[in-house]
Amino acid sequence: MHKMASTAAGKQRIGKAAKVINKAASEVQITAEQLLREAKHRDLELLPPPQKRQETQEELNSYNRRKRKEFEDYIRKHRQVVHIWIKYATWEERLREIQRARSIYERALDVDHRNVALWLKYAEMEMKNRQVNHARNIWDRAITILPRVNQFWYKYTYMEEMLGNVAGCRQVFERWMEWQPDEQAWHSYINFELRYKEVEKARNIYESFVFVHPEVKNWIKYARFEDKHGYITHARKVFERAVEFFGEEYMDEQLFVAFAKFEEKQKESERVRVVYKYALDKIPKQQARELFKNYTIFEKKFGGRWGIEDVIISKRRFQYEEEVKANPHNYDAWFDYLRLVESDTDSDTVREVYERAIANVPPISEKRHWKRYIYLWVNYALYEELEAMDSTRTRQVYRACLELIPHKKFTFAKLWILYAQFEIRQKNIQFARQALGTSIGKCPKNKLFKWYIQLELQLREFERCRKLYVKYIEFNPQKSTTWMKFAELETILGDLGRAHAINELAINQPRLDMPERTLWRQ
Amino acid sequence: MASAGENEARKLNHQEVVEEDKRQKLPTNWEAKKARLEWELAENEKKKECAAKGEDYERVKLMEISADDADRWERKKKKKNPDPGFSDYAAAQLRQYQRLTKQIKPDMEEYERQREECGEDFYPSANSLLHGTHVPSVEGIDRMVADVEKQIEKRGKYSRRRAYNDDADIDYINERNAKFNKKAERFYGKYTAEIKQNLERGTAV
Repeated sequence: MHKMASTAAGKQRIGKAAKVINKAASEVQITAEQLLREAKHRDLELLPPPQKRQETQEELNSYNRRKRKEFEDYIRKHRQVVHIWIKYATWEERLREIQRARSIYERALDVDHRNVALWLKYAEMEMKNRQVNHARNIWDRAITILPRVNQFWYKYTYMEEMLGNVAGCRQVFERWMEWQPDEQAWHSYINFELRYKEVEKARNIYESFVFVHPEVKNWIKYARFEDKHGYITHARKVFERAVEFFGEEYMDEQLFVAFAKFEEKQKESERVRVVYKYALDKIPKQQARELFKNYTIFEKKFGGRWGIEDVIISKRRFQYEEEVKANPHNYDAWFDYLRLVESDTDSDTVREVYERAIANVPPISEKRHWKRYIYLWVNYALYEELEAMDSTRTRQVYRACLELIPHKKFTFAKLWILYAQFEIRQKNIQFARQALGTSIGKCPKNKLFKWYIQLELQLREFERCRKLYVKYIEFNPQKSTTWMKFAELETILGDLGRAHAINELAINQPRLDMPERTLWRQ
Repeated sequence: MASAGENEARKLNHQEVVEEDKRQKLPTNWEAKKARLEWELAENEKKKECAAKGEDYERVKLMEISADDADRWERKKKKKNPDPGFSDYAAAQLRQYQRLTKQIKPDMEEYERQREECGEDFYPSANSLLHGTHVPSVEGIDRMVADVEKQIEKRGKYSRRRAYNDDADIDYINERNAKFNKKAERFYGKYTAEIKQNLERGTAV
């Protein structure tokens, strides 16, 4: 009963008007933005409390006490939030309560001694309030506890310099350099010394610097520093030491470029050339592009014609090397390369290049692939004969070439003929005949025959001519020109009987090309 | 007739007066503005020509600059030290340090005097006993304090006050919230632009 009454009463309290009959969403909904806008419009945000002025010392003290209590409460709640500590300390500082500010900073450092901002603000407070030794203590502690935070060192040295304590500043820098910091730190030390025109000291610093950070650009900076202050011999020595230091394994073209530029400024062209040549010899071509460029520019400015040519040729050589490496069957590139090499270097290099070139035998044994390739051989042989004047080698070349060609499949009459011509030039008819004989045996070709016959005619060796003609006809009885020529030969020799016989034979050949034109005329 | 001549003179004078009045009324930089507009027109013309001919306008322009002009401009550009934006506090401090040290003008007489006094100690090593013995002069302290105050003053100018935009949308409930929303917009705005539009519209596209 009791329960039912209470629930009934509860239900009644809702009332009819408040009961939700239609639970669907209305068409017009209020949005969050509208709510915010209305809230702002009605200005429900609390205004800051009115500013109170303190009239008496009492009021001031009580205000301060209250403020301090607030701060302390906040700190107690949010101990790790550094900016609260800083706000508290700066507030105390504004009241000129330096001792209180100090204690706040110390407590903050107890909480988090690695926070850079705290140290900076603490030191700045002491500096602002002319507490020099306090500031120095703080800086010393900071650089001892956090030596890798560069800001402390920079600000400490700056403070000492501002105070006019140059020796102290120097000592701080020395302490810093013991930690072997980054390059910028070394540079700031060097610039500090240069501000007071202490070139000797700067040099000492550079000495240690290039060993702590042994990079090429630091050596170059050292040398340039010497150069700027006019110590040319020193600069040169620095460069030489740098070259030694990096030795052969870690050569870098930048160093040599800088060295050469320096010598150029000193108008020592010989030394420049030496530097460039040395560098170009040692450094592999891929990394030496800058060097090449600068060398060319230098030679264009100073060198004689041969100098320039020298450079350009080396450059071209390098280019060609690349090309042929990329595509060893690109015979055009080989040709260009060989031409270049022939025009200027000694025969050993030429030979070497030739050997390399001809090592790239075309992969497929078809004549058209070989057509270009064969010219390599031809050029080689000609070179040996004409430039190197080495006939044994020439013979070797020819022989090797002739062996290489797969005569069963195809052949190059050209080559045989050239070889024969060469032997004739060498006054070796026997060899020539041998060669031609072999050629006819291995791979008879019209051209060969014709040429051989021609040769024998010129030598007036008519017997041999006859034999050759016989052979030729055996090989290719269809060629009417051959028959004709044979007959002609006999006629010239005055042997008409044979001529007639030949003609008869010719006519009786079952197959003949262009019979009408020729034989019937005879 | 004298009066005709007078009339003539008066008319001319009047015209002159009117013109001068007009000239005065013009804004002071009218000449400069006109010159600049004409120059810009000419530039556009040249650009169109070059485009028609297929040349690169920049290169053509470069070819017309003389060598020493180019040198001068290069030097000027090198001197400028544009702010590369915030990367980290150490870099910012380094930039400040470099600016400050460039402005130091060392007092060489004072320096020489100190060198005489200290003798060997003037070039201390890392652990020499010079540390802690220096008593700074009043001028030194003054100099340091002045410098620190200058730094603080410059620091204050690093962030400027932004204007309050009355009709910007209100998406905050108090000032802290407003700042936070602006920060979020700064960082995420460009990625969430579409989502925001969809939400405001009520439906996705």
